[in-house]
Amino acid sequence: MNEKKAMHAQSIPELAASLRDGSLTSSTLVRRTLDRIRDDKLNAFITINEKAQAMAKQRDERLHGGSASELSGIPVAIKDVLTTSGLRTTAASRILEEYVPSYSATAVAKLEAAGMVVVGKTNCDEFAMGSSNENSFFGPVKNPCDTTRVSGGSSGGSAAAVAAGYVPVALGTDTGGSVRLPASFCGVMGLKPTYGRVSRYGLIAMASSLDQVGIFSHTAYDSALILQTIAGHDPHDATSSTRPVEEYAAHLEAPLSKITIGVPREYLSEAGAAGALMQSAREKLGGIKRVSFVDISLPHTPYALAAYYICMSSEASANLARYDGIRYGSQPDGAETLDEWYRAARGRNFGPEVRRRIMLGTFALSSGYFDAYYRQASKVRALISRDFEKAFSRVDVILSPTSPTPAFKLGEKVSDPLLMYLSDIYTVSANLAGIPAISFPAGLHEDLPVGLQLMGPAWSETLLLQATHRFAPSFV
Amino acid sequence: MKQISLVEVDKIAALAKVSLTPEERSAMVAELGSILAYIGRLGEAVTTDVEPFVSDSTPLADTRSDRAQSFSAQEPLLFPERMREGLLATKKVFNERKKGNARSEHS
Repeated sequence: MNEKKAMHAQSIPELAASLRDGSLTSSTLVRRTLDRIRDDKLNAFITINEKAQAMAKQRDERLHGGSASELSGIPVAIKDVLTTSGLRTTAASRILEEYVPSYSATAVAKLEAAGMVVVGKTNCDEFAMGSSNENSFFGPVKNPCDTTRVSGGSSGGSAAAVAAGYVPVALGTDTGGSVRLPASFCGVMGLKPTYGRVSRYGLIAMASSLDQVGIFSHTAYDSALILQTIAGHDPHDATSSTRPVEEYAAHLEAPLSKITIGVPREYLSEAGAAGALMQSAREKLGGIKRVSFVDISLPHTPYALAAYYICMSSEASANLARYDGIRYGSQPDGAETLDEWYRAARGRNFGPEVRRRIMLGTFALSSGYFDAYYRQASKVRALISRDFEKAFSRVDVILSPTSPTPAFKLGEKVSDPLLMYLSDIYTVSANLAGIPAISFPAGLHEDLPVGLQLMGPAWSETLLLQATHRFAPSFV
Repeated sequence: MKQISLVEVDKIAALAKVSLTPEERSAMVAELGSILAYIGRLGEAVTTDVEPFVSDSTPLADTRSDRAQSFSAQEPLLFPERMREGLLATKKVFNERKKGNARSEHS
């Protein structure tokens, strides 16, 4: 590990300490970060923030003045579906290739207000639709642990940027596992908060009832610090909660009382990496004081992925109806009517996966099929939510693998959409129920990182972060 | 729960306002067919007397008052080279085929 990588792989408290004692300046830190991003061979970034260096200089002035927060001067990367004022935001799509927003997402604005420096916009699957980050108009993101393999999706660029040590933390978004899956594949932590905990204002919507801003980091402390900075009610998002934001970082070291981990029997049928991982987890965590395991059932799990793909694609087909190719996107030739224009522009500017999901959603919402698909999926979603309520009356958290497999080879699943969708089988339920979940690194399987997922009841982020802080060292 | 035909793919593509090449149409039949076959398991779930999901963890917060607010960030959203008399100029899109009564460009 060279000097630059070592510096950037440091945690926020380590970097903050160096910035405060003067052994490091934000200008130096950001310059080295930008140098590394410019040399990036992983394709983790779509756009570099050319104003980052000037912002770092301003942060240095505040640091010298002694009025800076713990986050001041520290670089952060932002998934390219979160708007950034004056900085191109593409959603990794050709149709938004030239879009420069006039406002920042609330989560981004809060990080900047706390002094963080946005160094760039990370690559992702187009409109966050994918499990491998191979659906980006700007090309796939390679896994830093093995560049012949996928980074995971959809927030693959953010996961890779943190795993490669470019930045200590990054924002992603999680609609069905898009933070947790790439975190697992790249060997970092990935947190999806409770639905409503973080404002979605400025998040380019895929499925509004499922989307949530999430966090990549190396440590639970860093995730806690970022979460308490970006969480909270936002008048621009009526679904953001007015519930007070907890001091997650301050509570991290608090001694945990007895903790009961539920292991769903429906998640145990997987052989291979997932099966071996769960066996290892029981052995390692079972040895920790006051930790006990209970077998539980989430009986509607076999329907979760199907319900997710109907709810998600239905919402996506409605949300993406606004992209008409008039203001943004490559303009089609030969269209003679408005309808022809729309079809040609959307056919030309949307990638295959986006068109596939729009088609699926349009079908599920169409006359004659609505009850059998969308309405039935919404009912199954209610049953899945009830399964979790019952389970959390018996256990504090639920443990599962994050993914059925470690990172797979680039191109291995692109020709089989259903096989790709099955990558999300352990992650979609948390989104359907709106509960928080975190993936933390759990060692290697055949030299590739694997992750464990902890899910908790709504608003249990403090407990999830405490548990992760306590459990993760067992797998180092 | 059903499989899907080429005719239905065309109907859905029209509803979705998405054009497909002939190769994409054929591929979509197979891909949507396989996805819908998997999704067919939803029909096995017993949902009698179950109401569709509504999030109860996040009751909607108070919405903002319904009044106009000034928007100060218009400039970055404009393409100067495509502006005509303060409006965004586009290629003609509102004429119907063969009527030939539209201007070549309008705002």
